[in-house]
Amino acid sequence: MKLSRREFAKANAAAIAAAALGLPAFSTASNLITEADMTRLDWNKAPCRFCGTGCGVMVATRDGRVVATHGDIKAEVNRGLNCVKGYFLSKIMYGTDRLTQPLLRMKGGKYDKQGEFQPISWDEAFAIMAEKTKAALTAHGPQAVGMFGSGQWTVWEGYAANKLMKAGLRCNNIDPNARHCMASAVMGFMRSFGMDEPMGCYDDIEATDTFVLWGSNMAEMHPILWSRVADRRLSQPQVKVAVLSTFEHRSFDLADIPMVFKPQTDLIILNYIANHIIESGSVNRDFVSRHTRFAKGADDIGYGLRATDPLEQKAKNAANANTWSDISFEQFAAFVKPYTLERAAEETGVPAERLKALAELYADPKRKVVSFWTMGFNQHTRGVWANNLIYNIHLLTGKISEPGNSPFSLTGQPSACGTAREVGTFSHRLPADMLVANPKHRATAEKIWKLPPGTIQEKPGFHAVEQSRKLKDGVLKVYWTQVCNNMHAGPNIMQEILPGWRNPEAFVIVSDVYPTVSAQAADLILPSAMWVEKEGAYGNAERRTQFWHQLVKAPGEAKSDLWQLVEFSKLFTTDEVWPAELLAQAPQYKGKTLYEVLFRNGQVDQFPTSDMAEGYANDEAAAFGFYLQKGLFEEYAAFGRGHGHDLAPFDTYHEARGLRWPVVDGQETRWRYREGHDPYVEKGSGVQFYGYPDNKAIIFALPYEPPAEAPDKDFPFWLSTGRVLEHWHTGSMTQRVDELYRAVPDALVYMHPDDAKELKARRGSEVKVISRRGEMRARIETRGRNKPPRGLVFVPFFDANKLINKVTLDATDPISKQTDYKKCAVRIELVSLA
Amino acid sequence: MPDSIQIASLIVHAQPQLMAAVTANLRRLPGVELHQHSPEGKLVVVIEAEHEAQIVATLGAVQSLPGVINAALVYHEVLEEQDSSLPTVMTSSPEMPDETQQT
Repeated sequence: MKLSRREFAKANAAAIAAAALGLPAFSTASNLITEADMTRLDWNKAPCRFCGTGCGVMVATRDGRVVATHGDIKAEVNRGLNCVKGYFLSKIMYGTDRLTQPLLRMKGGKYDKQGEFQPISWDEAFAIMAEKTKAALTAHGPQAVGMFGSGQWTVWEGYAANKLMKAGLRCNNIDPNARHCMASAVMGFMRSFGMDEPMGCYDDIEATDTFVLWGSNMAEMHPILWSRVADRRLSQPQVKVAVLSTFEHRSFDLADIPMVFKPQTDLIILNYIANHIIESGSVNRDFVSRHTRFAKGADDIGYGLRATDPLEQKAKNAANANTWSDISFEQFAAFVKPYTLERAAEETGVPAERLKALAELYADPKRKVVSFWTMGFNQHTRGVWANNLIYNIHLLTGKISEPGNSPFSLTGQPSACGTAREVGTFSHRLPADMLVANPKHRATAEKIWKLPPGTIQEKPGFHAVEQSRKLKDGVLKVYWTQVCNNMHAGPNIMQEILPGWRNPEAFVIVSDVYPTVSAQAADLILPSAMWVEKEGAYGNAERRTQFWHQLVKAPGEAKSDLWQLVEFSKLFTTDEVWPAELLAQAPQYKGKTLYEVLFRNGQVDQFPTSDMAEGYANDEAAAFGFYLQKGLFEEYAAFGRGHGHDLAPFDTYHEARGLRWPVVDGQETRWRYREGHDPYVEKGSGVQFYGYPDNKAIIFALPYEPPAEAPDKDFPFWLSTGRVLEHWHTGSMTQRVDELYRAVPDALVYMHPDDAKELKARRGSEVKVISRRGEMRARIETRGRNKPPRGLVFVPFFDANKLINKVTLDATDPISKQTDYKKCAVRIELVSLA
Repeated sequence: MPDSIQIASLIVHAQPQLMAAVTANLRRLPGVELHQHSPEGKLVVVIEAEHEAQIVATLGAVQSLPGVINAALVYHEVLEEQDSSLPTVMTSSPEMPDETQQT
């Protein structure tokens, strides 16, 4: 039998899709192989470059170029599926404006902040970076230097950056852009459980009866997980889906209980559900008494604005926001008692019968529940509270840490968990959930790093939003960002970030692959390698660590962030950056470079290049003469092994489709804190929340408090920002894929048609969105995928030509320091009717 | 790119009670072929197009059909015109097609 190539391709495409769905493939398709397919392409596995889902993709290279990708059918996460972004992955590296050489602002052959970008060599780039850094350190000390990194750093890049900053330069001013994304989730976990990251995993999807989405539009932001949710919903008649948001979006298509609530009132709904569980007698008494205790958190904690802001001066507990005191179950019950159904319905705008139906889903002892949330909870001035309150509900009912019962914090970046959180690249953290403020934790890190006691500074550094403020105030003098685009994604660009970066006293370095808004606002641009141009590791939202090999070369002189960090460390000697007293404790390091002390310490450099898998390039190993990634990973893994964060040996990950930590004796852990699943739980205990010494999780009494800014007569609309399916974050990669750009070229202002009518505008009209801080222009959409209620507009943030973050407010959660991008007040002015 | 053809497959999740309407509407979309489907509301759809942009547009159109809950891309291949009509070899290998590509 002969088929044309075209018929074959169609049959093949259908067979793979059918396999992904679990449908039988037609026999004509399943037996087809072409000889051409066998030989023309070299296929390798890699995790997707985009979101925190962590889909596996197969990457085909030919003649040193990535030419095709498809969903990896062996990957447990996505089982062969791809979303539209993953589908076009092969194109993200080949935008015509790829950066291929270092560029410095110059005038008359010398650096000049007002000069034009001109190409320079790597040696020249590092020379001026070192000169500026040393001058800042000498004149002002370590606090004058800062770094802003990313949940898109590979694990070893984040680890090397953390070590270079916190140990080498003795500076804690390093923070990841995950601060904008996951910080509230982190602090929620730390407060409720004493340990970061979800207890469950994606396998919960196929084991549950109920999905509740809190401030998460999974249909667009996590489409592959959403296809698993949809599959479960359609395959099992008892399964129910509840979707909560401040506006209607695509995930509402699958909702049995759709709920649009007024911004910030999610706190009321959460407390109402806890109250309902108690009043209806649905508390799992045995679970609660054995595995939980109760606490009342500090309230009136402010809004993370500048200390001079009247809102901060008024707040009673702004300085001790992350504190709490013990209370009893009875006191907790009394605390949530005022959150009645009537009050909840009145203040949230959600019909009472829907709120009650939702509460009953959680209360019903026979029903398993998965709660999913993302930025609706996390980007919230009470985001940590929202995280704590959802855990309350799962803890009161005992619906946690077992298949199908799972409070699940989804992530936005491919390695927000693996790098930002687990490696501890936050300004207050060290690897494996340890803190710079804790002397024992510092001592542990110094011991593993073979550094003298006192090397690591005790005071937490500047977090993301504070970094912008400190640049503007002239405190930060040298600022290096990698794998992120904060001039685009950070809040309140016009009042805080841009004046900070362009402050004449500041020297700003941006490592990136494309000329992003941030790169164009910098003083020095360093061209980076990306994704499969380097060997890498990411950790996804379900604690799954995934590796990939370098498959192609980076273009021109572009180098990986890892190479940049390690090579830069050669330009400093300990005598230049450490005080004499510290050096006196470790005389063997005198006169040594930071490269020698941090990366040639007998650990990081212990694996020869001959350990590398055959047939793969590794530009960093070639440059430094040892298997740098393996050495960094194994040193890093020492932090977590034996402490509930166990990672498998390095080489294992190049074989596996990822493994979920803790990995003990070769076995991954799917449900933490549960006997029989988690090796750290003692026999006979059933459940142990071992993040706390008493093995108990904390149920928190936390009230509703109003947002930092709400609509009034001058600024009558709520503004919420977010993403769309086709673009990832600031669009620096997806906007360069023609098909994605053309599918969604511009950011739109999603608005209720009646609001548009009242403004004498219509669909397609150009409007200004104006806040107290800035304005932007875009066109109105009244019929699109997002349907806001009256009084709220939604604007995506991907579009570099329409920067909505000129408008947003830099209010943060006072505990997590994460910005609330979902709530500020704006007015809309018509520019042209169209 | 008139001398190449784009082949892509998607899986579609639809409300089971609206399957008849969904399949009827899908058949009206240009370049769309329906393959397997199940009573639970799952469908396999293959798209043939001249440009990748058409695939994205078709995906958007599928997603906005009433009754469609989700559509996800699975596979994509670009066929150069000169080899699209060439015969291909069939073997009796029982392996999945994707395995053959994962050398």
